[in-house]
Amino acid sequence: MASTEYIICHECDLLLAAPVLGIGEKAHCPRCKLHLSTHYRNGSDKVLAFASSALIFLLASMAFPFLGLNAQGQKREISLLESFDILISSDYGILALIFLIMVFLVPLCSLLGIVYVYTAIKLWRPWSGVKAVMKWVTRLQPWNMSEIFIIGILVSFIKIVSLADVNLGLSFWSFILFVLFLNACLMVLDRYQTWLLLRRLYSYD
Amino acid sequence: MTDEDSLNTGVSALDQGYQSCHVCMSIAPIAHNHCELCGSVLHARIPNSLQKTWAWLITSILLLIPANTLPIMQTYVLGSGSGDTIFSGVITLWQHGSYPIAVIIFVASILVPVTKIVILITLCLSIQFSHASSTTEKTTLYRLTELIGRWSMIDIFVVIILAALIQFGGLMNIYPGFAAITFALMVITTMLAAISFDPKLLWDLNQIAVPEVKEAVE
Ligand SMILES: [Zn+2]
Ligand SMILES: [Zn+2]
Repeated sequence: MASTEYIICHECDLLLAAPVLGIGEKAHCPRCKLHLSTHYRNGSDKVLAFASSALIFLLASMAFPFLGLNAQGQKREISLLESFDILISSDYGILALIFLIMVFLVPLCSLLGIVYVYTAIKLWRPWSGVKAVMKWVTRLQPWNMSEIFIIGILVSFIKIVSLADVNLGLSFWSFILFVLFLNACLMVLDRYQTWLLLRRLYSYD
Repeated sequence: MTDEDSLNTGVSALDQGYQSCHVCMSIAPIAHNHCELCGSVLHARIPNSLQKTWAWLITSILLLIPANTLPIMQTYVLGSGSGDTIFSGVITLWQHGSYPIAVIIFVASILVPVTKIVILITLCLSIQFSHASSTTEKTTLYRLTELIGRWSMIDIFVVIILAALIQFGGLMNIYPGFAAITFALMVITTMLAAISFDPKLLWDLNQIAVPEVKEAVE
């Protein structure tokens, strides 16, 4: 039978007694110092609240102009969706795809997945597919690059500020809030604690 | 078969016939192929970890060459075009006095990928030649590659944003260069190299080098 008495450090393979954490306590591997788990106060509520907020701001950031430009008497305003069109029409489909996946689809799918898993936990309903969804949320994480995109925006902003007047649209601020809430959500989403809850929800103990 | 009652904490799990699920962290005997809780395929070590890491590393080095020699961005002003490579872009920014941006692009596009590739090569070689010393430091280096690798994408996003924004008919247009594609693929392949690398292999060496630790517990 699967045991909950032990865990194995996933970086150095040390066998450890499963940490029993009080609120606010953290567990680290004694040998390689890898962070294993943190028990956040009201962790599930926070995950659900941050994920829903991030989702709302992500969807809002699609709706308005993202960046505006004023140069040599010409005005341009683009939304995020228009920028995909421009990339695809200029024969750089691969870049458009990478951009679409890493900046939007990965965070969007992760957030929808997190909301689904944590709603099931909150209502204590063993819905179908919850464990498979959580598995994919974990696998997708390295490919989320939305926060790097923000640095990219700021760098481009400084690069063109000498050429033209740039103004940040409503979508830009909405996107910043989305990234902040997404990162807050991923910070309080503890993998070990989540699977402990799912183990109980599906009565493996 | 191994018995859970006889498990010893503070010792490698594989030596005691146990493995953990890389998704949900449940533990299972090494004879099990699938995780009972989440259904993932189980393996004590990433299968063919070194071969996969080498393959991705060689691919990323091959992609790094066109990424640095071909233009990453094409600027057309009144019909006449000029291309900028990553390095010439950094030089231009520096000459225009945009020092912070020049430093950010240099670090993200040149320093980070090269450092990441060098670290992963060092880690792979140290496993292949069973070089067991300073495992803690090597683990720290491995975590560093996981942490910094993604930030190389900054310049790709800059090119994408500029290409989407700077489209002023015949006056001024910016397009991505071919290097933008090879550079993006290079970042992806170095990330795959880091994901394929199993840091547990570093600690496996450590235990071979210090057998008395294992014997003391047995
Ligand atoms: Zn460890
Ligand atoms: Zn599992």
